Amino acid sequence: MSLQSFEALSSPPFSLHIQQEIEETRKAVGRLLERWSDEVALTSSSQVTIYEYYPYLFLKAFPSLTLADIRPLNLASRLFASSIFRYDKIMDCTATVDLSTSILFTQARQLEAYYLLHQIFPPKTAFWERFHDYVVEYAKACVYEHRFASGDQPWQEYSEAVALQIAVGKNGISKATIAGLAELAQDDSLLKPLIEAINHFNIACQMSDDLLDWKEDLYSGIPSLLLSRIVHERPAQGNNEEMTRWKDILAREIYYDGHARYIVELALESLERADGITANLLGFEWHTITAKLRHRCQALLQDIERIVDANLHRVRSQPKFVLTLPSAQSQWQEIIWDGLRFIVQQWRLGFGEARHIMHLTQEEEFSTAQEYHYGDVFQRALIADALCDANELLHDQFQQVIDYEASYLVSCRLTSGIGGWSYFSSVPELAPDADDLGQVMQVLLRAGRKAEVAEYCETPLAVLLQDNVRADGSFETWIVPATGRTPQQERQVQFNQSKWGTGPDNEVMANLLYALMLYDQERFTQTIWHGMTYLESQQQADGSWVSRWYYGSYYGTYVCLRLFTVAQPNSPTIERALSFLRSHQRDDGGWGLKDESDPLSTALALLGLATAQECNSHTGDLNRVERALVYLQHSQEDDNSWPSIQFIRPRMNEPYGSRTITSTYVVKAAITWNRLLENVSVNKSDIVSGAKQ
Amino acid sequence: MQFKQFEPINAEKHEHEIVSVDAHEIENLDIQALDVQELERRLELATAAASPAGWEIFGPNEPI
Repeated sequence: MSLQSFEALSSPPFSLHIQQEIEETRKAVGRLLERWSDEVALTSSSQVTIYEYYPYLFLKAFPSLTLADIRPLNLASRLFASSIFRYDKIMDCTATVDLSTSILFTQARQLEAYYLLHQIFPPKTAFWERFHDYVVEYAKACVYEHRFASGDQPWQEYSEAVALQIAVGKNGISKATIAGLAELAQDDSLLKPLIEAINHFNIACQMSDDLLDWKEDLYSGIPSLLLSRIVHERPAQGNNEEMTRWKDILAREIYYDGHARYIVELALESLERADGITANLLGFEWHTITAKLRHRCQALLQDIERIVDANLHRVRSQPKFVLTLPSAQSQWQEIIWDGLRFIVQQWRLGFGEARHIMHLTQEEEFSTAQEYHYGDVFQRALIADALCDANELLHDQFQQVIDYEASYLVSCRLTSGIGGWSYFSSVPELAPDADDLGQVMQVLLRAGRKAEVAEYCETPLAVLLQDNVRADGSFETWIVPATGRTPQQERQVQFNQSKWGTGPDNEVMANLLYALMLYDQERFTQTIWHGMTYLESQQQADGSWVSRWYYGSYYGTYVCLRLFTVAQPNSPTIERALSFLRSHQRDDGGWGLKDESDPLSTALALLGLATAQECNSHTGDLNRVERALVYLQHSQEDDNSWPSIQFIRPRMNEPYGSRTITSTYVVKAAITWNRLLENVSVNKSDIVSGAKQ
Repeated sequence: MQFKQFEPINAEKHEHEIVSVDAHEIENLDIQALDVQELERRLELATAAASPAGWEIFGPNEPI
């Protein structure tokens, strides 16, 4: 097990006075390490751990001590803790800097810590005896663990008792803080219960981290209680392919055979014991820390159980589907077949890879206690749309999957308020939106389920087009009634203004307007016409469209081009957008968001370019398309997929990307160009045979 | 894939239910269709530093 270090709250649970002390200690660490070389003095991690302020957690148990009394102990405690964490990395061979620097790093901090402790505690005091015992206990635990990590002792013998003993020993030096506080206060009365509480807390942290870090432990050959429950011998290192295969098998055992649950429950039980001991001994500082860990464990346990149950339920009910593909007749078909195989594999797995998980907390004013939210409506509608393309190519072979997905999308609709679809249906503050509505409508219409569009989409459409349209022909992304709002809708409006942002978004408009084209072009002529006038006004000087919810310009430009191609094929807007796409192809044949090409941007650019061909049989892009094909072939992963690329941006620094989504767009682009190039070949042969006649 | 029945080492202290799903029932399922990707991503999120992501509010058409 790697040594645990429970990260602290972003704002430690302390009064201003103590926070000032913590800041002073941080500065003092910097001053003490000034005399050492920069490499040695360098802080190892920017993560704040509880060891930044460990003694203050126990302040209530030693009321005779002042903040000034504790200051040197906190300084020594911080220095020693960071040395122990670096030792752990050295022993696990996971240090990110070279060994000699790491050793000097630990030596510097321990020397400074000992120097301080000698100033605080005279020799032959009980503190030194206790500290000595804790360091010995730590060393024994490290040696004991190493026997398992080296393979000298089989993991079968790494029992729960052994695991807990090692966890207590390896994390045991933290108990020196209690010994120090008792010595300073000259009061041993609470030493025993506090040390017992720390042991339980350390076990809880260790169990939690053993689950979170299980793959790192597996790859490094480091034993943990979790791993020893499913692996009886230390895994042979070095064969990455074998390890990856093993990892997938073990992951299923960890989650579906209850081991994850066992470990988290053990953590919770240990926390309960720690809390039971400290209920009246320690203050809110300590209890805030344990509450945070408990909350993390409970949320994790709840989510694991929910996902496991959902998968078991799905596997029981999902129909069997066997994809039968003929030999690929072209390089484009090879790409299509590879991508479809991957997508079908992901369908069989319930598209868990494509699901968007977002962390939204009550601290951010969201009302639900559930902090992690799961959304896949938009993603699965995109995938289903590409499967509709594949269905046309493969003579209805995908109809069963499309029907299943269409039913799933219908089942995800909101059943209260105005209906429609929300990106995260478990977030009440998130209103139904025009992007989800447009994408689901497209799938239902392409799947031949127009009656369900009429039944489930008319109400949100009416609210969107009556209450959320602007004078310039644009409309809002969020669908909220203008009057007679429910309390929930009022709250959604507040969140639109304070968090998500309001106003029309080009790419959302283009997606919804395209759905209206498919649904009833005649009925929605005015809306489509006005919306397109607005979109024309939003086209950038370089011919692209800016997207609010997607990375880069390629998604927005593609969906706008798709709309203009079917609604107004002679618009000069199209040629400007095509010029943008043509001018941004890289030397390697791809398109990209930043400095490098990526397969998602490339697929989206290819879909945009295809519109020129579909509009006016323009064949001037064939060379570009050939080069893009080579790029897509080279960017393919070993498992036939294409890598996850930043796609949706729900908020700052939280990009959503998915291998399934990238592969979906690659398949969609490949199907489109495969068809167009076949038509080009047919036309050429017509011309040749015509000329011969 | 073998589903093992594990006895907790310290059974009297930790009376947990070890196996979440009846082993016989699981054997009849399509094991390969049991997804772990979502669970793994959930773990990654729990591991991620708790640095609060900021909200950035824009007017119409302004990108993040």
